[in-house]
Amino acid sequence: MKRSTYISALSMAAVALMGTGMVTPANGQEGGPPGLQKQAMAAMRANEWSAALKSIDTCINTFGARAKDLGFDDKFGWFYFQRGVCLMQLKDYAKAIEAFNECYSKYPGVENEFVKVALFRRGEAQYMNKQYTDAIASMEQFMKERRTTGAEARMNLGQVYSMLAQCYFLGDKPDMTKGVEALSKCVVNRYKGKGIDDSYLVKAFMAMVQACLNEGKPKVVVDFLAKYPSVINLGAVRQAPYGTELLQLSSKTYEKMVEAQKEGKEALANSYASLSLDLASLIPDTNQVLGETAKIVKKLGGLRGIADTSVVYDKRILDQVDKIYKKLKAEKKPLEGYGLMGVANTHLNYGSIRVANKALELLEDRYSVLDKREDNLFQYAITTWTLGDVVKGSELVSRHLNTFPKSRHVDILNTMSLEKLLKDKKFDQCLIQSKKVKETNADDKSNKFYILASYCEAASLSYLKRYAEAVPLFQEFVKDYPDSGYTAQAIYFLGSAQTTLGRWADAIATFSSYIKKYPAMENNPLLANAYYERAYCYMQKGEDVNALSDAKIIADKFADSHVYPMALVMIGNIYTAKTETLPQAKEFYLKGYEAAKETKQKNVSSEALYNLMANAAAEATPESLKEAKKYVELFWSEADFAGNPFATQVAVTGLTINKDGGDGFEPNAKKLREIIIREGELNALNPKVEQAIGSYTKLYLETMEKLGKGLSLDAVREHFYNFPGVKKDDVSLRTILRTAVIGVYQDQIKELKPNQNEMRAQLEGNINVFFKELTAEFKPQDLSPYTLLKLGNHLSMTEQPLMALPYFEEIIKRNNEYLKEARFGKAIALGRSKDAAKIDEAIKIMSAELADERAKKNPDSKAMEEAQYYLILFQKDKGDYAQVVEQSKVYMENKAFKKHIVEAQYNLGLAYDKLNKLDQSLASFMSIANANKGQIRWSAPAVEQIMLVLWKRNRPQDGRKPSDRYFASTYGENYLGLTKSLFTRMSISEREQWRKVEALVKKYSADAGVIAEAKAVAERAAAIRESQGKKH
Amino acid sequence: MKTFSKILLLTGVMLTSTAFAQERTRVQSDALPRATMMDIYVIGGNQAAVQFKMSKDGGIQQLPLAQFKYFYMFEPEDFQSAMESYQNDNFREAKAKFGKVKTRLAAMQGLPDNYSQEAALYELDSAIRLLDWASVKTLCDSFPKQVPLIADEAQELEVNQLFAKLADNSYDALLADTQKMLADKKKWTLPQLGRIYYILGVAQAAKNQPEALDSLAVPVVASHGGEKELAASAILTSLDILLKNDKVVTFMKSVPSSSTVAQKSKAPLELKEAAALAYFYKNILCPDRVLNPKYDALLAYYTTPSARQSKPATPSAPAPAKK
Repeated sequence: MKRSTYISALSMAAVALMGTGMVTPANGQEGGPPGLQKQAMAAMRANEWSAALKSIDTCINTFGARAKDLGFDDKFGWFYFQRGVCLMQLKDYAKAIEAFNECYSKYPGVENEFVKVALFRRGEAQYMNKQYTDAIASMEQFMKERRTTGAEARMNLGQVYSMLAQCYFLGDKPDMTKGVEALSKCVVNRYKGKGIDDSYLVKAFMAMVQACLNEGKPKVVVDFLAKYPSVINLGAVRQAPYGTELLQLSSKTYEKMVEAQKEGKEALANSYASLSLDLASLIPDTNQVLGETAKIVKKLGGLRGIADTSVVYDKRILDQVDKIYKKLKAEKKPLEGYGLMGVANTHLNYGSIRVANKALELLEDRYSVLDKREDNLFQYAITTWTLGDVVKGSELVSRHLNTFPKSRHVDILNTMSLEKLLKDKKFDQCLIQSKKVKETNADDKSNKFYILASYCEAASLSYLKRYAEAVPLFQEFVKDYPDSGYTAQAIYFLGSAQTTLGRWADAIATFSSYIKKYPAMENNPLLANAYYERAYCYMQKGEDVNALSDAKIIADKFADSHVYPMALVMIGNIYTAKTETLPQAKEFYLKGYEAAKETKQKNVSSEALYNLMANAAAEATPESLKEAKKYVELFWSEADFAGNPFATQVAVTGLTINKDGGDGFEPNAKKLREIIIREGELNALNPKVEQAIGSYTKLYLETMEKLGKGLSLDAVREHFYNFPGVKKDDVSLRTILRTAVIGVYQDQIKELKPNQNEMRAQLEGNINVFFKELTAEFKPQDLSPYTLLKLGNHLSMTEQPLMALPYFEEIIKRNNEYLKEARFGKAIALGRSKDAAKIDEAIKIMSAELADERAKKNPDSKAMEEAQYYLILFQKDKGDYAQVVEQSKVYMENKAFKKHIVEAQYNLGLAYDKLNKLDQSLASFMSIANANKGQIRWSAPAVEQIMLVLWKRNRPQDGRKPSDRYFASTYGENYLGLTKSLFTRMSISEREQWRKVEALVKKYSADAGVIAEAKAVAERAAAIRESQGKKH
Repeated sequence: MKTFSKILLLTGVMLTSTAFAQERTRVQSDALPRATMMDIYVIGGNQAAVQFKMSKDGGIQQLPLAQFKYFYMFEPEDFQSAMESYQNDNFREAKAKFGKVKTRLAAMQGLPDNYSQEAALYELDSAIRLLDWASVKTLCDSFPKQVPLIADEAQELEVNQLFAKLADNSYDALLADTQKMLADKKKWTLPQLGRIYYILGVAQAAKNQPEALDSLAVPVVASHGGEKELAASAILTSLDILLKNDKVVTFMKSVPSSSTVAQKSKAPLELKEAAALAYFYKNILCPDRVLNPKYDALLAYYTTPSARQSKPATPSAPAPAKK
């Protein structure tokens, strides 16, 4: 390591020269020139420049004028030369120039060893004094006059050329050509003769860079570096002292590059870029610096320094470098980290995204504490996203936002965090943000962010269950971006949305396209799902064969997939639809149960166990019932969880198969009670809870009766008033329990024979007691508006709906919350009363509500729809079928009314039937049946009505047109065939409806006329086939 | 002090009487006539014994290394000359010169901080800069290891030896070796990391692994562009990969270079990446070299930073009016 400043270099040179230049032995006195020279030399060796100058000046002042007379001849020039050296050290450059000038001009003889070197020193002093033109003249004069012997012969010309180069570069009007020429000579001569300090080269090089930046000529440096890279390519240790300056120059050059780009100067910008990278590449690696420094220090042993062949190592400077770079390392601010930042920015600027990304990755991995990390990490995230690594990009966005919560890049990062918003289930926010991002990037739809936002917008809508809006967006996405990174998910999402909307055919087509486009099983977790979803859609369409085929593909090929247990259960469901395949159904349910148990999919194992239990219970043999009980136990021990959709049904079945009153009765009754409480607390509006309460009440009372433990009124009251587990303040559940008991009593009355008056009186008495106590316990004035409304609504649905009126009246009286709901409730209670006058009042209330809403500026369309629907029901209850037709049409013609559209149409059909307009009646019911085939709750009653109306119309066979009755029979039969696969998923009431159709089909197909017609049709078909040469 | 014949017997060093290298070395030893610092001329040796002459013309003597309190070998002039070639990026000349130094000073390979081993390190590095894998292999096989390298140099040699396997196209071995080394990325200096990734990238490219592009991007930046030869090679390998990319091929067919800027702006990311790399190579990294014409077509798909910056801002779509 060489000394890094001129002053230290000069002082070394001066001291070295002193040793060889001592003058004359003429006068050895202490006060004479030799003595003063001796004193000066001693002071100079001790770096005491003022003392040295004093001795020299004393000599010059005392003997200078008569030096030659005293016999010193031109050797006296020594004193002037050393005077200049001392003044240089004392930074008095003007006087130093004068001293060197006097050495040169006053003592020009050969005896003056320093006469030519003085020219160089004068140039140096002029350089230090920023007199660059004068310095150039002095240096050139030195080069011209220098001798091949003496002090100047030992000089390394590299240092002269370095000074010259610097003067050319640093002048007011830099002469780049001469500067480059001088610097070239400096590089070439550096190892010739006595070694020179690296600083001569480095300073000259940096002067060149600065001049080129000032002059806007970066190519000069780029070309120079290409020709003479060794000017600065010295190795880590020797470059180390200049690391900071190199970094600054690199940074300045980068800024110039950006400026040139803005000005559209492409070639110039490229030169700046090239130079900026060249300079960055010279910033030494900290670890290399420390390693090499340690090696040299070790070699030096205890020495303070050593002059090697091409370099002088100075331990003091090595120690300083070691200290500085260790500090930078400890502070995690190594210079190469900043250099790397510049490199990253340059590549980013030139569009080499992947290269920039790697630089940014290195920055994050190795220099994450740099003060620019906020920007670096941001760019790292951006480039990672741009390269398509969404997972890592998301992770980096999260890292950035966690580390810099107030980041100035937050807006852009939010854009990038769309996927994170999706992941975090912030769908509303994601939807808004997606739209913003699309708007921002609307000019380039191929932009990654635009594509991402398009996907996220549709996905958010889907998650928000706004499927109808999501479908067209997904369709557009798939069309516009058939090969994007999100296309596979988009197709899958589209199919799922179509499935949810019941668009079975569309969904099947979508999933088929997925399966075709992405058939590879590897890294394709959605493939099995697509098969499963398609199978489900096939089932909904009644295409059991196709459904079975897809489900079996999953069973055969996707044993590790999430849908594997689900597919097995699905196969079980398909097989359940046919009695002859029930054994297979059982086999697959058991497999599904085992698979789901293994993967801890309780929802699937509970479905499998529920179906195993239901099938076994339906078989109703002692063995099957025993089996059913086993599945019930397994369900509770392994598959149950709060909110389990099968829990209430299993609990009810468990009680049903134990209603013989044996040992299993009480535990199952207890279980059903617990499930009622658990599920009721989870969701008070869960209709299954109400159904379960009804079943429990019925089974409990019946079994008690069967066991001869017919409960007294007090016992019933005790049991249901203090139902175990129901909280006192859970008015909703408590009222449901009370009304359930009332409901059971009311049903029992309906089933009584006309002569069972005693029983009727007893039941009516019980009902009255219950109502009385209900109203006594739940006094309207003590209840909150919400409880009033709930209780009123429950009561209005019993056979004594008028019991609800006090609760609604209380709300209306308070004239505060739930007013509209109370008026509605009151009207409904009145409308269900079967009292014509009260129904009229209900109609009046509803009509008034409708009129009120219509008159409003912003009418409540929901309320209007409800009012219009109830008007239909009230008119029906009143028996005014012409009005039912009219009100139904009003409802159906309003396109905003959708909630009760099927019921409205159904009532229209019923009304036409009553009015004996059978063709119109059929049209209404057929419309329902055709549009809702898969929805049993709508289609089964409609099909039943179609069959009844056809039977009633009874048109005879007309040529090939079948008779109404034959058609009724075959229509029902076809319907059963199409929907039987859905049987396992039908609710109890749906199953009852479906069974009604089944019963009608059985009845009609047994009719003699229908049988005859069926036979004729079969014969005709056989004849046709025969004529076509077919056997069957 | 032992006699020369005994030294030969003791150390087994074979020296010819006419071609002794003798290198100025500053030493201090109580066993020498002068106990202060002095310069001697070392001709060979090892830890057990150092052979030297007191003057260039003097007789050969020997001392155990342990008897030297101080031992500093000066940089040989031919080493310095080789280093100058190396610093001038003239790696061919440097490799040859370092090779000569290594051989000339072979008798000193048993001494600490010897210039034969130092020259061997630089010779190997020069071969790597020349992308001369066959030479790298040969040099690695014959690398002088009589004295252990210091830790930093040993680590550098560990990296550099990987290049030897490129000579044999041992890509599977290289994939395994580099992945193992990259398990602790922070162990390596940036330039070393760049070299490891370069090798990994070349091996991945040979195996048609898509990760090659990522790996090859690291040497372009790891030494800040300082190891221009490896950076340039990495870029050209990346360009070859990208030129075969289906998306690039399809787009260049459907939207030829003569198409409008708007049409070309819809190029896939892979083509944009290739165009940027080709431009960078031609104009910034290696403006003094001729870019292979097969890459020229890529340049037509590049949008310069100047052009990008001068693009007028597109107004965002107006917000929809409230219905």
